[in-house]
Amino acid sequence: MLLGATALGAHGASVTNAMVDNDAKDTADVLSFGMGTQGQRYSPLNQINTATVARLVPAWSFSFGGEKQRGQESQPLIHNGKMFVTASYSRLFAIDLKTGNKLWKYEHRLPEGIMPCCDVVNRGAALYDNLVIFGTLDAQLVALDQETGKVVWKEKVDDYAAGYSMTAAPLIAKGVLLTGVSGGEFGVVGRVEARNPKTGDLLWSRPMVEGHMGHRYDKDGNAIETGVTGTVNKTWPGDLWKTGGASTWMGGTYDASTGLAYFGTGNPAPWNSHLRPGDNLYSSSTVALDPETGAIKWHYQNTPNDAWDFDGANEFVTFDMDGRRLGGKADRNGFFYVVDAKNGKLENAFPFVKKITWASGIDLKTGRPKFIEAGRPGDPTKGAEGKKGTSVFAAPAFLGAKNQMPMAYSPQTKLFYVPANEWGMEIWNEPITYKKGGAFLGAGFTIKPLFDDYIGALRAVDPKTGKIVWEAKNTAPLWGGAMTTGGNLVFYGTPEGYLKALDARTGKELWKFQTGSGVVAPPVTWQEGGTQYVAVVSGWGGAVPLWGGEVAKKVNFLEQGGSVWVFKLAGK
Amino acid sequence: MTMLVGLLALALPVRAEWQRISEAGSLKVAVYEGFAPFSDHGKGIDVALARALATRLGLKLNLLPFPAGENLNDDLRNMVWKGHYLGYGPADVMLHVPVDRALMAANDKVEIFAPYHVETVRLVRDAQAMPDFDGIASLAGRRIGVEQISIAAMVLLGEGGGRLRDGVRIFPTAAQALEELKAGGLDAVLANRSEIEAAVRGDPRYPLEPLAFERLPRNGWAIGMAVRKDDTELARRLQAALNELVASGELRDIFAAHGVTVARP
Repeated sequence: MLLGATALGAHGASVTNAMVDNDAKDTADVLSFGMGTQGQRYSPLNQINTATVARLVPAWSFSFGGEKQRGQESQPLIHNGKMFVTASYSRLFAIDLKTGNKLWKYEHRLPEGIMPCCDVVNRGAALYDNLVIFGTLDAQLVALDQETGKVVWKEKVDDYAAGYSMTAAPLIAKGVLLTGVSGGEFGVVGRVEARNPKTGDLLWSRPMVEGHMGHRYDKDGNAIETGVTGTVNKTWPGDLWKTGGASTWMGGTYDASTGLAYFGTGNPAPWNSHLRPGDNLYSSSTVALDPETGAIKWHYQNTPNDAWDFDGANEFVTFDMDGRRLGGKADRNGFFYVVDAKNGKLENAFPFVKKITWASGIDLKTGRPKFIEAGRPGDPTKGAEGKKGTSVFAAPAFLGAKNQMPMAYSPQTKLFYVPANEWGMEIWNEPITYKKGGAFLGAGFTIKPLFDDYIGALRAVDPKTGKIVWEAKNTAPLWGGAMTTGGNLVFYGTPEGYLKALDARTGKELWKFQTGSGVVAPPVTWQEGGTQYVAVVSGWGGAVPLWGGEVAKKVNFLEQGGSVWVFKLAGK
Repeated sequence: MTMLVGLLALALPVRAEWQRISEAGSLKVAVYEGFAPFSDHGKGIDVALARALATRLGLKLNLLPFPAGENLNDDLRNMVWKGHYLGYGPADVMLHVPVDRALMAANDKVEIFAPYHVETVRLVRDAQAMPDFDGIASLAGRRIGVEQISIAAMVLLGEGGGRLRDGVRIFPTAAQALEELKAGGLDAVLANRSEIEAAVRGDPRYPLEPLAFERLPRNGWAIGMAVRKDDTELARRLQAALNELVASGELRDIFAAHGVTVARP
């Protein structure tokens, strides 16, 4: 902290606020998820570029080992000669950047009876001071000493037995540690929490569902009420806000120029929208918060009264356009939104996938979707006992036009690079289903590709015109993130196992490498000693193989894995 | 898998599995967590039944309480035929599995059998707060407790386009809703009959009523157990043990000890 102001651009072991805020510009480090808290995933590095990328070769590879593999969705962090990378089952490794040798490993002891909805993934850690901090599947935060891997502090965020979990990378904003929570359909209510990153002490907590009380905490940990989120019963009928959902399971981004942290919120509960008429704030939204107090400064709701599982957790990435600071979000629901980062006012919204059945567009005046009522699934509490309801075809499918895989933005090309998927789903009310030993009124659904030849497509999206400038199709659904560089390149991985580099302006494929298992994680890049490196984690898993449907045919030949690969130019 | 290879391979495990269990000397039984009066903190009807079954089979009980998944297919996969990817399970047998044709058809890797109880949804009311009762119409303007994400919650919230919705009070479990009813904070609770009986223990101040919601299974649903498809020897022995528990009155007593009247399928 003392060194913070002077240490800008220096590489002491201690990570300061100034270093975190400068992460996107400092090419020697990757200190945060998103390669900078704004989440642009852009590096100005250009040693590896359209002319040289063909000479990219492996520098080293490291296996996460263990008997358990499953989805590896983690983004590595780079600092002080070390890589910090998390792996499935709440593991974290520190690796020597030069040799690829393991320095230390932390394996979190997971209790039996945790309930992660969508695989045992982790998306990465945060660096602060001498610590590396990450969230675990049993809803704890663990801070380890970067040098030794010893636990410095450990805090329980919530009760895993009640369905809470943590998979996102924590965020450092204005010197506080911001985290969300994951949770399935079990009455979990989303919230954002701030802690002192050095001690884990709770500073404030802000629920994301209208009606719940927020708190701040004094030195002794006593909770002091800081007012209710929104207005009780304004957009939720009766008691339904109590189990409102809106989990903040993907974490958030932070823009030092606006001073705001941006968190996406999950879909509302219960799944059946007919039981909760109203907008159901702040579910399926982007919520902008003051990191110091947790006050909600603005919100923009992408899918009011969601009926399709269109979780709004996707990242809000700030960027400059026409001299203004805006934010882009590629939502599950198939629309790409451009919103004023200072006040939440909608600037532009347009589809980034080919088929959308739930709304014909977004009204730029009101900011609200133009719903297509025929596209809304039926009410499972209506109809005769033991009868199957009529089927509705909805697109995108519940896994979304874009899921957890982060997009990238290049200030050089002024384009977003969005890993998108083209799929839909049949939804109908089952005659009867069962849950926890008892009868239930559930919906049946089957997820279907929309086209024969591809599901995934990496798309270059122009936020100004709403045009798709180019696309690179992929047979299997894309599930890993994108990165873009000053070398006019876009890097991304595929479930088929490839890390690929494309020309950022044309989408032309210039290089690919088979990593040995599916890539469902975002790449990073940094430079050390005059050499630019690229790294990506490989290991097939995540939600797709768990849900399948007709999509399973396109992915069931893929094998699991768990490793991190590092590349550099041959001869470097 | 080709069926031919499958059938040949099945000849072996039928007894092998039972042999493994009897040599180990214990029966691993999966029960739901947080599911009073059946299984909650190592106590309840299903826990007592698990113990009685193990005893009849000459085995020790090895209880595996687990959290409910999104649906029964997940539970059967995690607890019966495959195991959870976190490394726990499967058990030898899972209790409280609905004996339902559609569920059997959707889960060809398990054998669902031995129904031991029939569950139905009932309304329990505070007779003082609601002295007269005339079906669903009487619920207008009333405070009614339900367990979140239960069939009771869904039918009540959906009834008549939501005309009862504002009176519905949502609780994490039915047991908590019933506690609130007894504390005077609710007019009624809609829950499973077993949950209600265990809480009110025949107290005449809390009468039970059947209610005919549009999509509520009128005759309830039978619950039994599930083993892996090829564990026929184990299934045979469990069925025989259950038959003995029924014939001796032991099953009835297990239910009665928790205030519940067993309903035989």
